[in-house]
Amino acid sequence: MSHNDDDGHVAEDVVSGEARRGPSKDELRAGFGKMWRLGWITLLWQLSAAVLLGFLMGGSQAMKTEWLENMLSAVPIIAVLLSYRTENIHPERRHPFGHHRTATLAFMVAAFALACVGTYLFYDSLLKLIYRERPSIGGFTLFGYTFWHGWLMIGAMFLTGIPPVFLARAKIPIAKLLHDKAFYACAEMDRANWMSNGAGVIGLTLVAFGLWWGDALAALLISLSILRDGWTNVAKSLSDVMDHHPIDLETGRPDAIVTEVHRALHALPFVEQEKTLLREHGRYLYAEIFIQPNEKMGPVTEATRLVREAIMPLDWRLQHIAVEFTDDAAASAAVLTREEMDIEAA
Amino acid sequence: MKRRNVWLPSIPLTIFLSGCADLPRDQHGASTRIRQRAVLTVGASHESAQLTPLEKREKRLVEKIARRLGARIEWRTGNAHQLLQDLKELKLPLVAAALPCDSPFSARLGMSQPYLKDGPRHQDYCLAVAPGENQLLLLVDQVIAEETQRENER
Repeated sequence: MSHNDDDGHVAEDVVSGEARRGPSKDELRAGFGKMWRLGWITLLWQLSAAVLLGFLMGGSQAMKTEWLENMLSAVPIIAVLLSYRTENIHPERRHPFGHHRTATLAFMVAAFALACVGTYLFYDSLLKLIYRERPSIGGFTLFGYTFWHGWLMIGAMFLTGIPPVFLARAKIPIAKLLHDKAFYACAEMDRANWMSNGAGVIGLTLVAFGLWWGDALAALLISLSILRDGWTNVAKSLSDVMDHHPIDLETGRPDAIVTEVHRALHALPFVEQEKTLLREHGRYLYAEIFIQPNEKMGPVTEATRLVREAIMPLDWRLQHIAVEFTDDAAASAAVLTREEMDIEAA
Repeated sequence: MKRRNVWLPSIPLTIFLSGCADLPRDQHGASTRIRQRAVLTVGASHESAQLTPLEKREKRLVEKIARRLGARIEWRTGNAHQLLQDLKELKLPLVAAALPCDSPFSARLGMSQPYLKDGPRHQDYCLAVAPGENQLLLLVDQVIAEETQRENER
């Protein structure tokens, strides 16, 4: 059995003995560096896009919505950058489990902000459609020449829609490598950005053709995209706070690590039965392992060392495990309801 | 090998672009109506023959806008509040009533570029166009920009 070493890419699977790929420390270091740099590039890009769109906003509802989307998209990436620093703060007396969850907190705040503003923008655009408000977009004078402001808005929407597509492509592999949910959400928002910008371009073009509803309809579609981003991320972050099972970032299905841990434990000669509670703690994994040993069980310290050696190499994110040897694994691991504790209200 | 005619796609493109020459269009066709009837109805709040410098400036601008549209001006005087209500309801295409650009009505109307910056009471002054009549608004803005440039050159 071998662990991931500093430079190696391959760790031997503790159960089957077959070679198992995992990110090396070098890859992780590079990944964190890229995440930090991409985070700053995204933030600077989003702020400059927001300034540009804000400057050209004029009387278009679609532009106003797109501008707010850009401003708000900065919130999750700020959360990523903040938690990058804060998750490294050492545990202290008041926070014995460290600060890994700052990422979850930041993600939740960002998701709620996005969801609330998306809801407001949806309502605002819907009202504009219902009351048939006609967008007035006049002239813009540049170097002594006055042309329709809408053309400039269309150009800005078009231009600001392109870079996020490339940013998303750069971010997704890093987010998956580092299992960073907020960063992954940012990438997904970037990926969806071209669609909302496209809706804005079409809406303003319809306005140019004298179709008043184009602008409000485009704004409505953009707000729907913000709404979807917001509420999906709220659900994800709430589930995270509720100590959910480790899940795959992309598919949302249970992470393979769950079965791997069970297999590794059952491969140990002294394990009769086991019950393991795994949860995500920010990007990391915490495990509470309850083992019902058989007659092959040696000294507790030796058995615990073997458990740690079997589990820890399975995933670089597994960084905190607690092992308990018990007569009844299921009973020890039980999470009780009030009824089971006999304290339910009469 | 058969040579591809690279100019061929430019034909539908040219047809499309020539159809776009009048963009942006008004949402209720105010410019077209004014040109067809050769009458530009303008709401104005001045009632006395004695015009203030601000009103004189507005009159000059409106005359130039009417010339561009090939129309004569028909002034409709009245209470500014009522005129703006008529403008909002598309009963009037243009109001020149010494309106501050940040008037409470401005969000629901097509406010022009300011024709006077930092005027009386340190406010910017604009003309108001019926909402959504973007071709007319663009013309108004172009006239204001030309006038402003001419004044700056003086």
